[in-house]
Amino acid sequence: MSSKWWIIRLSVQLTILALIASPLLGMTFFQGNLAAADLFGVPLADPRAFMQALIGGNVFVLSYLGSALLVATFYFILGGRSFCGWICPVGLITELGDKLRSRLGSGEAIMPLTANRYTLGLVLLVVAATGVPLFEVFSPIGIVSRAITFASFMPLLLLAAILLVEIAVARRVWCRSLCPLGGFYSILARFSPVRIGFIESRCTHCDDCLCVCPVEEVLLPSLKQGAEQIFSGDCNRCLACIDCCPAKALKISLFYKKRCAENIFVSRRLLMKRIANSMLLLSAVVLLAFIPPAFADEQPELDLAADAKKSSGNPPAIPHAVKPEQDGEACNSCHRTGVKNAQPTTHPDRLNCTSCHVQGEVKKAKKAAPKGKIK
Amino acid sequence: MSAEPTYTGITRRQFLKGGAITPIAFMLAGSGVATVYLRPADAQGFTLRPPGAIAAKRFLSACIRCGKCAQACPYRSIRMAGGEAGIGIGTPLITPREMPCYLCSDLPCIKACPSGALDKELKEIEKIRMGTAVIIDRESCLSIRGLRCEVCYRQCPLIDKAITIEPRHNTRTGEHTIMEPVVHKEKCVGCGICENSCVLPKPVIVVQKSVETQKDSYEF
Repeated sequence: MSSKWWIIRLSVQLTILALIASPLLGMTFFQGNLAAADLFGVPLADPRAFMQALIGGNVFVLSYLGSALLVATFYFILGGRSFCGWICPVGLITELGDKLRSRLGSGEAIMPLTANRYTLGLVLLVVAATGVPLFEVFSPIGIVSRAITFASFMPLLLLAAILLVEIAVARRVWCRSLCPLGGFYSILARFSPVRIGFIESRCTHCDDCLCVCPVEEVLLPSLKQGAEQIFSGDCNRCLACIDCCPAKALKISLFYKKRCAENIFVSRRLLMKRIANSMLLLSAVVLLAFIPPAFADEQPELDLAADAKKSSGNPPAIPHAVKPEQDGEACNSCHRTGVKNAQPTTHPDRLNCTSCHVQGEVKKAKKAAPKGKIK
Repeated sequence: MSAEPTYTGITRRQFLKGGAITPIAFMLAGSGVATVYLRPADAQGFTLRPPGAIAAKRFLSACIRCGKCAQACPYRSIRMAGGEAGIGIGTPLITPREMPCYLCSDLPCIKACPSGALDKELKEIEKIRMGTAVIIDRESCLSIRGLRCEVCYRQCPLIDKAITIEPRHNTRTGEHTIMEPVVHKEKCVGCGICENSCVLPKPVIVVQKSVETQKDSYEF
């Protein structure tokens, strides 16, 4: 039992928090947050946020694609959900929450790991259908970073709620099973060349690794069937299992190792299924990008001619003097609610009043009693 | 171990945990979500976005809420919305009465935006359409009441284009001139400097939604 990797990982996590906070101290080498940032002039961007801006906002910037690909490559090489284990500030917070939870002995329920694929799909569907970036709205990652950089603390309530549910009800339910970003990285970095390796001959089956692993399902194929590597993309690469293994049966292993014999047939079929699944997801994303967001359109262009035909009679003429520039909001200042006996308008949103309402006969105003100087 | 009674029901501790803490946790989570999030982005009326922001609905999903525009703004005019903005949480906005947009000639906010929510092709200040200034309360405007105020006109970065002064005879006194500020909506970029500079406690000239929406170059 050592805590070498935990100390390294914790210092990386704290460095990320310090980087996010650094602009507050007037430093300029880091700008932005985990959605997009500049680090020493290198633009970095969250590939999932890129996808969603493309689908929902129909915006495409080449440099943005480049920075998203850069980050995607980085996480692909590191593999699995290394973002969750090493970078994400929410991961750090819920990890500390989990320590408290295991001390309290509460919230033992667990949700299946694969639920985050569905939440990812849901988020992409919602943004395609309504233009509402569901994850950006709820994202506790954004909430934490904005609380640090812009001191907006109110939304931290959501993080508190997540933390409470994780402590009281279900163990790390947000990070394990619900976070769409986690799902995205599980899919993206499944076939990464950096993995946790397993040496079956050394393993004493003490199951210490299962106790420390936040996603212990990924260890089962190795422990039960002796698979040489951990294949699941859900592995956080937190390396806690390597730290805790008393027999040194777990290590970092590079590139792809052959799986153990009885596993090959099953896993090849599983592999094909997974590939098919990810192709499906990819094609769904590509398709979604071309569905015009149904509610995301701009305010419809007013069809003034059709509108005019619908209304009965001519638009009433203006019974008082108007200046050439007086239009729209200037008219609305009296006609919106009807101050000074002005007729309230039924359509305060149409701001080109004088294009329909023509200048009528100006009633001679009653000569007001002269105010001010009296000669 | 063998002497331990085998009790298969639930313990008091389990009952409290399951019966009290769990519903409270879900209630907190639910109410947090409902109060903070379930309202439209424009629940608080018109929101003034940074220069070059693409049309409102698309902006909400194109903006990835990274805050780089706010960090790039030299005047700290841009701030990030909190939970009060509903689904617009974390999007950049400008509150002219606190700090308007001073229209930097190199537009650092647009340069900082990675996603194109602020249109990168926008280079000219005159083409910005954040909103348009509107004199909402002619009754209170000092200039229209006959005083020589005209602060909005003097402060306008597009002086004599977006705001002009139209002199006319003051019929009330009979011998003075009313120097009325007039906003030209087709020129106004909506920076909010006039709203910021209005001398009255409640500004009579405010930025509202512009008739002409911001053109952008990312549609495909």
